Amino acid sequence: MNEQDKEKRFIANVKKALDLDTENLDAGTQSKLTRMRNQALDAGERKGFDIRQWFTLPVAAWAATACLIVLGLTVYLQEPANGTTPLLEDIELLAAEDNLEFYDGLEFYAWLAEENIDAAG
Amino acid sequence: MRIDRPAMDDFLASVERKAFRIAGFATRSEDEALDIVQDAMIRLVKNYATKPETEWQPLFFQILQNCIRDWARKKKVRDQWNGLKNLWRGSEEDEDPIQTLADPKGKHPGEHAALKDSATALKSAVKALPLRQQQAFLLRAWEEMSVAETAHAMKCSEGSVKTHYSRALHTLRNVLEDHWP
Repeated sequence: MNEQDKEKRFIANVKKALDLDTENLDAGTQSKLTRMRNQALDAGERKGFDIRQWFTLPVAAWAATACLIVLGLTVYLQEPANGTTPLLEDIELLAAEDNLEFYDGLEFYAWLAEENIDAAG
Repeated sequence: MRIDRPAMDDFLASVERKAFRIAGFATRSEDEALDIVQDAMIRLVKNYATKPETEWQPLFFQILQNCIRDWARKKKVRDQWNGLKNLWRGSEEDEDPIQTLADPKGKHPGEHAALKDSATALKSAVKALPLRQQQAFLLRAWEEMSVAETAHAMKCSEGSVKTHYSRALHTLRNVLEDHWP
């Protein structure tokens, strides 16, 4: 018998032994396998209504969403620092239709008003 | 989704015992093997029940391999974490990890008496194989998958399958030469 035949015979013996061992599975384990099989079939049939799918969304996506919410709330609720104008007021000022040159010459208009009052007095 | 329940039931009944044994060889734990088989069954039914019946077998064993691989990955992390914890504690009464390592010859102390017959010897030897060799051998020799199918199921190259299978066969023949010369 050559090496290849010996190998084939060895494999045949292995298969036979494993098959025999599998056939002689104890009743308790077989019962568990049968129950699991039925559960798997039931799970397949109600797949479309499985609410647990919602909880299988990637954790990273949830974490990213939470970070964005926290960041947004922080910016929104942040107290303005000393000497600075709050972000929303800046936007309001920039969006106003008033001529910006008016604000540039504000000191001059104040001085002019003061002079007029003095002159009238 | 409508599944052909009687056909799927017959198919799962035909592979569940073999799947349980394959998972059992990998995990050496009946409970963990049952968990793995259940996971594989559910994944097959949920995702592939509408595929042609001829595709169920290779798909099922591929899913089973994925589940075993996931289990091995988690176990590795768990073992590393436990190792770190033991290192941190510096406890001497904790279990020595060397004692829990697999004997490459598959002959743990006290096992000699249990090797009553060739089947017991075979199971013991298969359990002692490294996971990849064990799975390649079982898929090729027992499940009679081709090299290509085994490579697909194990997500590795055909060359790797050949190497794992050849090493497993060599080890098993050496260990079992008294039973099957």
